[in-house]
Amino acid sequence: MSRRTRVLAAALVLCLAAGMAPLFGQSKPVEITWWNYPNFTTLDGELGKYEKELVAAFNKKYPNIKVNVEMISFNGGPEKVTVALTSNSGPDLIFDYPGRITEYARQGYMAKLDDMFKPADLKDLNPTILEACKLDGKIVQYPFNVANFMMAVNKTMFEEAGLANLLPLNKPDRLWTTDEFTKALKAIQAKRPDAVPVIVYAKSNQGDQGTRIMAINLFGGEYMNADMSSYMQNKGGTVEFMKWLQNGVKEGWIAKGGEAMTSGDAIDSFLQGKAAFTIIYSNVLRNTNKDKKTVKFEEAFLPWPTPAGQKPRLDSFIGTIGVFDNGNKDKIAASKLLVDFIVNDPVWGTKNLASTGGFSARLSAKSPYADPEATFASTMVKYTGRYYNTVKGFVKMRTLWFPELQRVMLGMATGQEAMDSFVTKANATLKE
Amino acid sequence: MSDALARPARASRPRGVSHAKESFAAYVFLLPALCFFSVFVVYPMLRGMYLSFFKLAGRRMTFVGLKNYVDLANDPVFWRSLGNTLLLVVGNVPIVIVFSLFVAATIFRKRPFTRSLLRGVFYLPAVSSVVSITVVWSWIYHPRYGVLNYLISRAGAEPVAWLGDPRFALAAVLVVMTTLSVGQPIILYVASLGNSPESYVEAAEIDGASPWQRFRHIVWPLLMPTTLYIVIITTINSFQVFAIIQLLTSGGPAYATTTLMYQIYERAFQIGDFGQSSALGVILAVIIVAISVVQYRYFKSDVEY
Repeated sequence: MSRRTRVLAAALVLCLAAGMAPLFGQSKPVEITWWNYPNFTTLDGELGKYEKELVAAFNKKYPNIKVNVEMISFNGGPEKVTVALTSNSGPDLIFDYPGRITEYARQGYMAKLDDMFKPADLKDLNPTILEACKLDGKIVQYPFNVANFMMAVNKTMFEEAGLANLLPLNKPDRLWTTDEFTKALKAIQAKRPDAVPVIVYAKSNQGDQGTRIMAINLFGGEYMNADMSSYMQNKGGTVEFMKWLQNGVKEGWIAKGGEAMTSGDAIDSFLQGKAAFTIIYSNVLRNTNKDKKTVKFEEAFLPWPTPAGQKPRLDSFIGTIGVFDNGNKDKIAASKLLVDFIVNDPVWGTKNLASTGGFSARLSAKSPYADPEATFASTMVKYTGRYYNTVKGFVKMRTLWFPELQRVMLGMATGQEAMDSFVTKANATLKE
Repeated sequence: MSDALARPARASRPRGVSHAKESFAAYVFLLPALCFFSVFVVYPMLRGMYLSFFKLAGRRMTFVGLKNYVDLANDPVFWRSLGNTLLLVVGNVPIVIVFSLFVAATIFRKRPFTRSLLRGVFYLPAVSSVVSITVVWSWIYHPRYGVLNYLISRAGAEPVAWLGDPRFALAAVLVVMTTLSVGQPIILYVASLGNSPESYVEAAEIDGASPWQRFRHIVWPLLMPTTLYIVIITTINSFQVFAIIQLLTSGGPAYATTTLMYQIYERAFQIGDFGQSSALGVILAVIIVAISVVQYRYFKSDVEY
């Protein structure tokens, strides 16, 4: 080897080492900030304790990366992130969902993560989930956990009322029709006047995906047209649903006062044994809300009822981790290492997944749960509907939905009037 | 009166110290407060006005001229929030004045211990967390498990969705606002009544004035500076009501309780439209300044310091 070749080879090795240093050595100390919603189960009732243990394990592998964990709540957290990003004081990474992270990416705040995926990784991801993580063909968030939103029933309440035969628990995939659901609501209303059959909530945009998915399933409606250029709630099934809703509130087999309740109120009522059904539940919600269950009862997941002969379409919860582009390459590289550790570490990856209550976004992964309800929930992924949370103006659309639902529930507008008004305003958000 | 105040100041100036030097020293003393005021009040205010002419999308800013204001003028939710805000102001201010004056006049005559105790009781909401109090109220108003519905059901009435029914929601918010607003005015009125010369009232009593005449022609004019302060502060606070709305109703049902302040929050922090939110902020500031000026002029004629 000539001297010239040796020099060239040494230079090449140095360049490679310099380029890969952020990914392997991390010789230079880096400090990053991770804002996290309460996605993991709290340890010993202390918020953030699990995250501290996770970071301690990460630091054994990468001692030069200091991670500051800051817990934020789902109530008010998104606003805090918006303010921080606008004032250039945002975090370096966040564990959230595509509805928000894609919006941050659209505004130029997110780093691209394509370099974190090998071709085999991409093949191992559910195509719907992978698509939800992209913006303009680039991956802007790392998919971690998934869980379909479904309904749940207080099985014990129905059994004690002698009405268990009205539930579809022995049917294949527990599929059932809207008529059967309505019959169950009316029957439990008659037998248990001290409880409410179901709460359709509309106080704010909290948990609003539950009411939107319910609205399209029960009478065969649609969210959007095929190319997602227009909302469709003012046609067919959704308008039918609004009539059903108004009637239910009037007759009391849907709780009165839902227009002043949030999804949190509805889940609390269900877990306190005061409501027979909850219209929003998932294995993740079951896991994160388990401390709120104050009464012992057996609960069971249920898919959305549909008109006879139709298949339910479930709304998917996708948990993703995004890295912010704060203009510092070292911080971005360090954040990517933390993302990789959270999702793919042989020990902590599985532990983290189980702590969220979700299932892996990878097709090859097995469910980390043994209990029958979680197993049932994992089999329902096949009914996942279209993921529309990443359309332009999604965040603004959410502020338009619940006021129209309130108008319907209060009898201030017909279903058609309310949905016409919603679609007109929501379509405008797609063009802004 | 201003001459009388100015003369001793001139007389007390040490010989050889010029007026300019004295002014300079005064400005130096004012500088720290001025710096804080400039950084935390003046700059954000000017920045807000500037932003109101832009469309913001993340790090991108596009100049749109008066578009944000035009869009607001064509937005029914803006007009609804303006109407609700004015209703809350018009409802809250007179209730606070009448209620706090009534309470102050009642407890003023009590023994010192009782007076202090009652002052503490009424002031408690002012020093407590608004969030905690509002959460308690949300349970009082709860349609199914609330104390209020329990009480009216004992009287044979049907339960009411206090926060879910557009006919009651704004009134329910007004009640909470009032309970949170009366603490400070009661303390101020009690203090003001204590500072009013007793001899005027006693003289009128000897002259045969009725209790109403004594209140109308002697006590009320003496309380006017305090009333002016309370009216202006309560008006401003009522215009800026936010936490109660956010926690109790989120502006609903169907925009029945949305206010300008809530819309500023929703558009900035939920939707991320900081430009339109800033335009709303400018409009709110202009309204508050205009009303405060009118109030000051109206009440000022009766104020004698």
